Amino acid sequence: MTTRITQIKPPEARELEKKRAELATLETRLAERELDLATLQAELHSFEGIYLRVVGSRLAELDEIEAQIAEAGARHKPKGREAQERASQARTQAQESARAVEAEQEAGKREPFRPSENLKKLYREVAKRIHPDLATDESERQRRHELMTEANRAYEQGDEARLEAILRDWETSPESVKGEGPGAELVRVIRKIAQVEDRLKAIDAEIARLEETDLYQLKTQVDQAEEEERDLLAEMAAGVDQQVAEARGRLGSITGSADL
Amino acid sequence: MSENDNQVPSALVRVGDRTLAVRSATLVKRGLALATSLLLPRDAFFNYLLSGPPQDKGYLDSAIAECRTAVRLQPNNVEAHSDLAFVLCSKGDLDGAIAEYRTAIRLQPDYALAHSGLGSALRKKGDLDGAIAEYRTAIRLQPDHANTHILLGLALDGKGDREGVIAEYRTAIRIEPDDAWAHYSLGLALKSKGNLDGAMAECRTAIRLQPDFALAHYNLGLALEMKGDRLAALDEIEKARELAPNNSSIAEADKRIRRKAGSG
Repeated sequence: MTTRITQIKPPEARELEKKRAELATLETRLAERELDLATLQAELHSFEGIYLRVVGSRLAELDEIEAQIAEAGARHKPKGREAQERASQARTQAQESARAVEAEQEAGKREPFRPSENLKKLYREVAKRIHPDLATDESERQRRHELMTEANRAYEQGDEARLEAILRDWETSPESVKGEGPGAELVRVIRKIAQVEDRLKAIDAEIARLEETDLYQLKTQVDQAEEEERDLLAEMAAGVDQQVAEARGRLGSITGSADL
Repeated sequence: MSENDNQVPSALVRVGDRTLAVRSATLVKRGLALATSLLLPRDAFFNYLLSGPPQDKGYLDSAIAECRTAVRLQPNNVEAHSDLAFVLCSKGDLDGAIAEYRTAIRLQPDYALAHSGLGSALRKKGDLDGAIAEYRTAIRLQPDHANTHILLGLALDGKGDREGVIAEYRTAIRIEPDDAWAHYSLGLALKSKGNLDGAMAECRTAIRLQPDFALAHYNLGLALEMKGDRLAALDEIEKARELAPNNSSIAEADKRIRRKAGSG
């Protein structure tokens, strides 16, 4: 008769193994959702820029002319409270529109955000390894946060080399080294799981919020029109151009200037 | 989502410093309204409404297709469903129309126009009780809509409730004294009760308000014929025929009165 000796893992180690597997699954999901969010944000950001350049600039021009018309009206009725208020509101709107368009012009020309598969893969890896919610103390969280900030910027700019460098640096940094006993490690893993779950909920909420915005709805309409081979932004621009021409005519008839 | 959600200048995301700064929510909101107006097939729909019952079925199909696009683009847009229902009803697809009206009502239970439209689709299907219930709901929600009273009158007419019919038409006229169709409808109801003088007065009012109202001329002619004034009747019927040369009932009446006038 032979005696078979089996090595039984202590409960803490077994639990740790289980929790690590759970965390690994969650980390993968977290990376995927971070990618979804980053992609949506970058798409909206670039679309916002294109929209402001193509249509917003024309609306700003229209607002400026409308403000001039309202101000001319107010000059004709210096004691008319309603005319004065209308002129003031029109001027405020024209200034707001002009500021929005100027800010976009300063940011430079944007192209539609279309990330490559490799870029997405790199971002997913970064999010999986460096995510701040995988930190176990505040200083590590801060370090991870800074790196994610950089990674987000690199992703939006389509900078694959920078994402690779961030990953490389992280792998060789002291933060990536893990150790200590199973008890402490178990506590750490459980805490990470809770953090990751919280973050997943926050991402879902943020994506849902973004999908409710006017900007997202406008982008969706433009995308759907594109599928039907319509350039909706160009159509909108043409519509505003017509309004601008009409407004110029009105202003000209008020001020007596044919060439404005 | 609250109105303010789109006005927040920037939304900060917890991870990293990603920001989505909607720099001018107002410009975006205006763009969305502009885009929607370009995508929604309002032109086709309103052209259809203005043109009356279309002779060109292809045009109606085009209006349906465009309204379907509107529904696809804006599945929660009550008006889009209601517009689609209206054109489906005009096409004769009553079941489709009823389904769309019901969707509109589900999305906005207090949308009077959808209740009224649903009433008309049910009336055309022969469900007069259902139609009356929907018209009454529409009137409860929007009591000052003259046309709904007229539609309710039509449904009550189908049930043989002549007093109810006249009451609804009078209400419509009280709301909109210059509604030629309401006067004309009341004229028909009075004629069916044997009140020819009342019927002629209402038809004349309708004609005064809308001189090219062929059916008002026609029914005034019929009432005059019943009163024995064939020449005046013929005069009205001829006017009706000029205005609606393809209407077979008017053509028949014209022939009949001419024959009688000739023999008299």
